[in-house]
Amino acid sequence: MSYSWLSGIKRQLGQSKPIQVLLVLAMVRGILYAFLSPPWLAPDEPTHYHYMAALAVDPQFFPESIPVLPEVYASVWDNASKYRIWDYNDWPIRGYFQEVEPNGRLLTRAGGLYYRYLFPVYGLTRSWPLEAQAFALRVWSSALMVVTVAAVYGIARTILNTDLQRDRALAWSAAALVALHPMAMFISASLNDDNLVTPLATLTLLGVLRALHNDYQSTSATTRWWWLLASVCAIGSVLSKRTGYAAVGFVVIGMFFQGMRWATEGRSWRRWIGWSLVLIVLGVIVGAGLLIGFHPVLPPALTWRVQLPADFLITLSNALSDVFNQPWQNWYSRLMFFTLSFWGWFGWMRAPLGLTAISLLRWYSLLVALGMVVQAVIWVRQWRDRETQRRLILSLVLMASMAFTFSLLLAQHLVMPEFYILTGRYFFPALGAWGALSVIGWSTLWPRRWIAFGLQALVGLAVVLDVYAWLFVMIPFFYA
Amino acid sequence: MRSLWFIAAALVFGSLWLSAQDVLLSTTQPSSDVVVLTSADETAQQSITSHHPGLTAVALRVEAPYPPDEQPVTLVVREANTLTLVVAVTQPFSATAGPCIEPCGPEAQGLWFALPNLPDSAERTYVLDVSTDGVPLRVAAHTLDMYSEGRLLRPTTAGDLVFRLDYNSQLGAMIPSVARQIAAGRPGIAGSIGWVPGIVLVYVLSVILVLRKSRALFAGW
Repeated sequence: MSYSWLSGIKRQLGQSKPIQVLLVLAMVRGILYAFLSPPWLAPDEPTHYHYMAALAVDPQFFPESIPVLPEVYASVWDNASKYRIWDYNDWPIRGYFQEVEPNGRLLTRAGGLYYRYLFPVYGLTRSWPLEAQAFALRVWSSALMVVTVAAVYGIARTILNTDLQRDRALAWSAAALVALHPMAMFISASLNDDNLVTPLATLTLLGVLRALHNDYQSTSATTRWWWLLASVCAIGSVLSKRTGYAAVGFVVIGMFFQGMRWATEGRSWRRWIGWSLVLIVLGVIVGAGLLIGFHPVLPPALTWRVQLPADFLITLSNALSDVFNQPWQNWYSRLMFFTLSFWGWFGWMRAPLGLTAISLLRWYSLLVALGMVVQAVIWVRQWRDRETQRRLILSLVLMASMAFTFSLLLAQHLVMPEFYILTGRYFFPALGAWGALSVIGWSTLWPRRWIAFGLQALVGLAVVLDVYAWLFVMIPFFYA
Repeated sequence: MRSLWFIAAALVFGSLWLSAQDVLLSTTQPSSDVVVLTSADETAQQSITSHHPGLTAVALRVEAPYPPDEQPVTLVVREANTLTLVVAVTQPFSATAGPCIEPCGPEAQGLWFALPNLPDSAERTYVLDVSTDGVPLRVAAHTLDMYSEGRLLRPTTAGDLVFRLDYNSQLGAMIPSVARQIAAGRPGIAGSIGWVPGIVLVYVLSVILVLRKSRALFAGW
């Protein structure tokens, strides 16, 4: 009996596709990372838990504010103290991180969609001890990474869409790079509203790319559904967290490229729509520039839901005009911290990957960026080929998406200097674009006969980085 | 069949490493904003909790001006509950120089005591007692309670000394010790220490599966 059961599993695994085993690995890593971090020792976890519990008391969709739960808040911080949150963070003052008033109320964060995703597990585990419940919620949260990895594969496969083994391997490697990303998994396996933004934004990008791709392939039957997917996911992303606005940007970028294509190639009515789309997008960009330039004080009713001060445009405008006066060393160290917090800075950003690892990862980022530029130049030179044109345009959508996401997090950094670093996890909405472009850039750097080796080496190095992260950084930090 | 042989070989080879040992884990309290003066009469006493077997060294941070090189410095380690002497080490100041605990200022250096390996130090609470005979030693400390698993017992003017505890025990003893800590507070079966090697094994098998599956993707182009 047991033999047939085991052989059944073996047969199933033998027949599974490479992407399926990658999804299994993402799930296993989720449990591993959720398990290795002590309770409450990921950024803002106690606050996220309290917010979820408070929202669960009155789960209407757009409440003006929600009541604080002082007892829950106190018990979470008591529990966090049991797990030495103060020691790990070098916080000198014992006591609750931020005292809450018994009758206080919290501002609602967008629609709190992430917390609503947690509700079923929260409901099922209410009788559990707090730390055990946090573990279950973490595992549930980490399952979202599976969606992200699948969507990244979809994105890469949309660009590299032939049945050639090379295209399949490149797309798989892009998904593997994200599936093995240490920081993405660490955050994903914690309580954090970033976790729903990442899969939804990646699905948004997938929807945009598939819609554009369909247009190139003249298969319009499913195009509207891809646009619908992109729009729904972008809305969901915004309802999860402020960083979710990146996904709206992805849709706008997609509309711009769609408009450009129709304006130059479409039939007369399509040309008309195409030019309209291009003009609308350009209008949005000019409008944003004018808003920053004239920086009016916005009505608080418009800004409180995204937790921005009403005068944030003034702050942003002043900060932007000051950007070029800052010494270049400031920007160098900011980018250094960005790299660190993007790849691996565990705990409440207290346990970084080693400097050697970060230095190597910086070189990797530079090399793949260079490789991507070279690839883009090669594609531009072969512009007449329709397939090359498609790949180039889709890659440009990804590049623009990355640039937009980065500019959003840069703006947040400038508006709120208390965010003392360019936080790498706020770049995760563009994880799909990053994965696909990284692999394309990396493969360009290798001679044609060596690309397969180069990709295998990349995946192998990603495994090494992952093992290094949890075995030699997280465990010694958390359990010494 | 071939993979079974591979797994068996990996287990046999891996088991050889269970007797390997090195300093892989260190408990550190690095924050300081004050110095504590210690002499023969005024010792600095700090209670600490050792989480792992094989406590093998205690390091402190001292600040200038330093005592003369030949001046003896003593570390006494006692059981916290019974105050039974565990070990006492006396060395000339120059012989205690070791890596400074970061963040280390220009006027600071490490004070390092090698202990005879304490194989049964897991989950024990000790009291460290530092003293010197002659020019007082300026030991870095923090005024607040920065380390929740122990405190500065003497002088009572500060919260905790800056210190580092190094553990050097065989992997075979260290792995269960770490696994016990990781499993603490986890629900149901996840709270047993067998879960930790279990999930790591599943991780390793998943990675092997991913790499094997990917081989077909990369072959033949």
